[in-house]
Amino acid sequence: MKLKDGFLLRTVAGQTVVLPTGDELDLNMMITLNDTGKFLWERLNEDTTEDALVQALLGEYDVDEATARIAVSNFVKKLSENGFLA
Amino acid sequence: MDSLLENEYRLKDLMPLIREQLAAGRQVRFKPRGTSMLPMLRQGIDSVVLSPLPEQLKKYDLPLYQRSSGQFVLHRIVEVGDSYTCLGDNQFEKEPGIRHDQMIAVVTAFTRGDKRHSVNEPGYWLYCRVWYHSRHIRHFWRRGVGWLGRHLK
Repeated sequence: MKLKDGFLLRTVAGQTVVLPTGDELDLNMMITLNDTGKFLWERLNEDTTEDALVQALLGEYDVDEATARIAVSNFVKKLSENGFLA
Repeated sequence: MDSLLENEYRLKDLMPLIREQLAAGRQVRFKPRGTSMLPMLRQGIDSVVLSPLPEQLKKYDLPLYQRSSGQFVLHRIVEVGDSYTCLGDNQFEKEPGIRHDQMIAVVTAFTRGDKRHSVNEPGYWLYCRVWYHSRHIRHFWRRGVGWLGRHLK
């Protein structure tokens, strides 16, 4: 599991945002990531698994495994639904 | 612990990103806010595609520019001289004295609903001219309707 190529990660008004790049930059497709989202996004630049993301989250944040697993699952699902995963 | 959030930003927040893309020769699409470009652009529905600025803008071009106050505006050029005079399609008071160095980008395409249009289409060419030259009739009509609304209660 890995992100597709062709996304811009930028800071806008202090928030981390990602945008798909194509022939034109579509600001309507911009998505804001919170700190956890940014953390997971950066790890998805390399091929990884949901289990590895859960472990990374547990190592970085003070969170129990069940909560981390739900967060990762929801995040991956949203990325997949939006066509962000290769 | 919701990891994905969708937000709306003000145009001034997005300007560094927009300028970066334009400087790289890329186009940028976004949904403008406000009602000043009705009926062409409906807030929250229609998008415009901005392209890098050409050397010279011409009458009926639709540029994005920055006022001296810092406000960003997307209004149509209706007169070209030493500077530009601009007017929103839903406005009646012209804004003169816009310098070329205040211009940031120009609209080369737009999306109404799901349909994308080029500014080179004959229908758009006709719309710009008919709409601008009918402004006195539209203004008179709007004031008349307003007067009737106030006096026929």
